[in-house]
Amino acid sequence: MLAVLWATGFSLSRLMLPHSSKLISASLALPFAGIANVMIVLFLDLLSIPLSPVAILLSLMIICIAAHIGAARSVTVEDDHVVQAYPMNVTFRILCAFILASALIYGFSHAVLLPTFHYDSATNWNMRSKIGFLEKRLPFDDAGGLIRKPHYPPLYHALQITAMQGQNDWREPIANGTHFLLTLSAFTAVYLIIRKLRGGNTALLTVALIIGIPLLTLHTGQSYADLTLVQTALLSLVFFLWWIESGTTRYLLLSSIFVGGCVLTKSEGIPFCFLPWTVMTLLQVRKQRLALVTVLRMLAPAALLSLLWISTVALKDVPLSPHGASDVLFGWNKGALSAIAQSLFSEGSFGVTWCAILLLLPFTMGTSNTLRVGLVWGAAASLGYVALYAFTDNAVYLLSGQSFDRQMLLPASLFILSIGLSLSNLVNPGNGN
Amino acid sequence: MSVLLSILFALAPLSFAQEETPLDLAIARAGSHASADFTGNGSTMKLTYTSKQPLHISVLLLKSDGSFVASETLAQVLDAGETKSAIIPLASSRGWRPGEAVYRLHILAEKGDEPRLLAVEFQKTGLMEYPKIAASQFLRAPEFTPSVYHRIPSRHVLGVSITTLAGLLLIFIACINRMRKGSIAAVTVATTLLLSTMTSIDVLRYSTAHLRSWFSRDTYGSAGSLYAAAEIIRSDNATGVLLCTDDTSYPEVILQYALYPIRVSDEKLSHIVVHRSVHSSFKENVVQCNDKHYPSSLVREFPDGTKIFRTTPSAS
Repeated sequence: MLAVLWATGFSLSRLMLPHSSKLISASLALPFAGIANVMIVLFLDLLSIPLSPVAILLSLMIICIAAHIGAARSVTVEDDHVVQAYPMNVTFRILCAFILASALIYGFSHAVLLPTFHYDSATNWNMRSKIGFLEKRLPFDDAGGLIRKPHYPPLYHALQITAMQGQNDWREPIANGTHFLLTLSAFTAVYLIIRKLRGGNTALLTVALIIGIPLLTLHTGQSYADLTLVQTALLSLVFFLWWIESGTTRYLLLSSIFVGGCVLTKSEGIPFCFLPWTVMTLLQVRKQRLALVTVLRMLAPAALLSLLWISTVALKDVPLSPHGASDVLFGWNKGALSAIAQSLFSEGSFGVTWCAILLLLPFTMGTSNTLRVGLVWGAAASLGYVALYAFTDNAVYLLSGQSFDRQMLLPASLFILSIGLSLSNLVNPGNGN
Repeated sequence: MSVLLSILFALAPLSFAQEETPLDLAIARAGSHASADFTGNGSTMKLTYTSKQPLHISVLLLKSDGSFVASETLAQVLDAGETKSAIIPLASSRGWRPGEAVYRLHILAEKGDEPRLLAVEFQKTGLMEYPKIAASQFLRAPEFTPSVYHRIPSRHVLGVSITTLAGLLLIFIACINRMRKGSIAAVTVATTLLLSTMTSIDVLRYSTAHLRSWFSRDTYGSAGSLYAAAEIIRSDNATGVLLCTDDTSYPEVILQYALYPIRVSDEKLSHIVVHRSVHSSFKENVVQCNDKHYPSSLVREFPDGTKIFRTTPSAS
């Protein structure tokens, strides 16, 4: 079933990016498949059709064939434009390669060779997928107390349910291995696109800095959807930046699709992905003075995918936010700011990442408009999370060291992506600035 | 600075704590137990004692509010003997820092022993020892626990967070290089990559340790042998499984996930899993879990002490 997923995603990728290399299309296959798949699973569930191998396979095949026909009709002249790479210190390259190789080994061993380990995986993420697979449905109930958060967006679960089709029983290597492959694909795609924009060294450095965030490295062992959210958001942002630099509105369309994917991945997808992305896009659209029709067409995928999730939530009568009422109970939480500072600058989840971001931000803002605009998303998400934990009852999760660090992986990664594109002309042996 | 103390123990019969057993379970299992707080300044603690049986010692580094971090606890087994001395390397704890601190000493003994703690002495740290202590603390990876996906604790060297130290260093370099963007960027990136490399080495160490224990002993960190137990239970036509444990809710959550659709509950009971339990026993084909009794037969025992029992028909 993984092969069918990949083929479907590849067809969609060729349809959406006819001018890109087959390598980029191949790397985007699973990310596209993830979004198509969750739509299939949601529609099947809303129509009360059991999530059987036949139903899912048939749906995927229809999309795959339709996309393939559409892609075959497009003129595919591959854009083989090569950007001259900025030179980079050999030591940096070795460190980057080591960081990526270690994450690969760790991710593979913990996702494929070892079973699920972490608490929330066994109560929220993998447990919901397992029940969904065995009962051929997408659970929005707590299954007799076994699922703690059955109201989460289901892209993560849907992918596992689909990947397991055809198996007699739940298989840990397939369940977590599918998400490991998704991570591999997504970051490969980010690397390849940055390579087109700034060359291989910048791509290597940027991806290594992101994956090297200590907590994110650990999450490559899979079974939580925080990494799924981060990689989907990175795809959205990198396409956004590609649109600004190339002027090709198709890339904005793709950015829109992937931010819609964020909404379908985690509850914070709407406030910390869709909304900042929309603001960022409108700011840039205003500068470029695009036609309203074009703008609406580009924003449509994000809006429609968000609407799909909101409608599902309304129909299923489940809360939209992850923690319910505590998300909107406002009040000043004494000790929250010092806990936030400790988490970002003193504990081990981020190393010196946030310190580095704050030091490098002034340089990025001075380089180009492209990169300045790209910072809006990271800035909005950071401020939003800080406000959420400082001014609502969610402070309890911060003070107990539960969710704050994981959620701050999103803005940290987005910042590094934007900053990374400007780093290469700074981190250069010959640069005297 | 030295502290003199004598402690007499009341004795009671029970088995001893296993290696890696959480302290609270070890205390509950011990024949007798005593604890006391000592304030001192030094990288080692010298204990002078008399005991007919080996003594299990745990040393907790207390914070100013009296709390402690479990991963900073030191544990050691002292040989039996008359007026023996033992050195507890306090600085081998990841949380040790120079200066005066409060240490809580837990001493666990067996029935029949009347150990006496004759003296507790803190030995000052030589100047040349500090680099060695700093290096050993620096090289210790953070503990891999079920909560590590939420937050990774920082490495501390001589009481200072490495993250804070590196951050301050970066800011200092940025200040002295304020007109040279390239230098600041290069140093910032280099420092970030170096700290990331430390994490990379840690994750390789975790991978090696986890794979080794999984493939050779069927255990996986805090999950112990629960997955291996679940596999045996599922192939044994189980209908309901009781988990007997004094641990947190983590074992139950993992076992339920591994077993589903078989439920972890005492309804339609067919199997019992005993995992890190103090208030349980197995005698004359009866499993006692807290205050309930279940006629059962032993199916399998794992290296980490986890046991699977199959209940006999009268227990279901």
